[in-house]
Amino acid sequence: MSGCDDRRAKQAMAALFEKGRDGLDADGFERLRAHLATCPECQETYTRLSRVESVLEQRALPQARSALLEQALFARLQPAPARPVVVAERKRWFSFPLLMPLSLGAAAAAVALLVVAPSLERREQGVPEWQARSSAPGEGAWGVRAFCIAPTGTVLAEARPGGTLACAEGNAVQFSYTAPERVRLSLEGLPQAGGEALRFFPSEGTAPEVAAGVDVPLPFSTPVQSGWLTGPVPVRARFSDAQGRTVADTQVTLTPR
Amino acid sequence: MEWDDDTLRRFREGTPEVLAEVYRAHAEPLARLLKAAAWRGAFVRLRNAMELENTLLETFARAFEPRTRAAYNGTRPYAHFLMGIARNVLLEQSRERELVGRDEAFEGLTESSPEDGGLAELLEDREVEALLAAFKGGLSREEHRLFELRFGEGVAQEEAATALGLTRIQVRRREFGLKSRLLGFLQSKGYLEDLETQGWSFFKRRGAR
Repeated sequence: MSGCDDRRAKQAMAALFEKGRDGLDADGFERLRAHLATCPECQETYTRLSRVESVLEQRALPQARSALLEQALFARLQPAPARPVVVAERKRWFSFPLLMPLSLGAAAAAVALLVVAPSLERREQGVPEWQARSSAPGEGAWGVRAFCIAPTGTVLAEARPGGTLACAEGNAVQFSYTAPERVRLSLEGLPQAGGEALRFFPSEGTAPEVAAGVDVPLPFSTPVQSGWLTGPVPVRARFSDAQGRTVADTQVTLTPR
Repeated sequence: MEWDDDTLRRFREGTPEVLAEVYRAHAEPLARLLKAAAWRGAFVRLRNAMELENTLLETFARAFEPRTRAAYNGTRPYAHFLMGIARNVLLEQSRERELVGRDEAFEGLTESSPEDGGLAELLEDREVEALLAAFKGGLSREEHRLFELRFGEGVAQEEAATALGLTRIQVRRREFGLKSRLLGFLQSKGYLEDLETQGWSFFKRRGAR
């Protein structure tokens, strides 16, 4: 096994063992975890130290590690101010619990009316089913469209792939995608003013698989509030295969109204 | 923990105190279940402490998402609900690793019977227990008593201080000293021999006493 020269990681492991939760703060624990993710040797050490602690405490999860994991968990649950897809914001927009599914339903229904109906119409005009939703019909089979939806469920505006959607504070942005086959999908916004990337879909984790379909609405809307949409936000939709290779890449730009 | 109507409501609302209570009540039992599964041969990667902790973190993060919180009815044992989420997390992780060609998730599943896994865990625990016994054998009477109180019986520092006629600060310092010596001892006995590489000065400084 090759030696690891990261002394800070080793000191962090020793401090955790010697002093428990007093030996490492949340940031230190995160740094250690980041190092462990790339260092098999330190993983082995971490595991061996954990085993000693487990035997000492008669626990599967030593108390100090449990406490630090709890901190990491709550840090992860904490909504970042600039992130649009956060629980609290969605809860505020759909402030009435019963209204949430109704509002979502209304939004989805509105999208369906606006999107599915034209897609049927296009098919009648002889456009192939999988080539109806791009910015240049007939050229692309993959795409994402964005809709600005009022709290009542009314669609106020829409943008095709490559287009721009203007949406005012108080409304919500809803995306739909078109994919000719089952694929992994991620939507990420990159504010031109800089700052953290905005993850529209999924809100956490790796890109999930989505079913093939035409203008399939994503399962949730993103409220425009708390100042995340103050300038142009290009949203990149990336379709990738099971191996992570990009199948298609498209973009919609969001702007404040 | 008790799931009365008020607890369930506050849990669904995402009240931090309730989420913390749920985490504290279920993290250890879930870790125990996952570890046992790993030693029985399923998801052997969970024998790695970092993997186990990552799985726990991911499981609770998903369990505490608003939609998942709303899906819990308060009637079914929460441990079962949580285990279902953990199973999904593990299967997803396995699929992802398999797809990129470095899946080791089910390694040993066909080779080891549950008894084999249990024995392997037992042997590793025995090794650690023997080392700890040897370490304790070299402690003074007072140190031995402190070690037993704090680590064997899990007595709080305050209580240990009272029992030993010390202040809590003294207990804390002596406990730190004991842990440091234990670290050096484990190193000297080869249990942590992989640490004996350049840069491990904190072990070399202390050594076994």
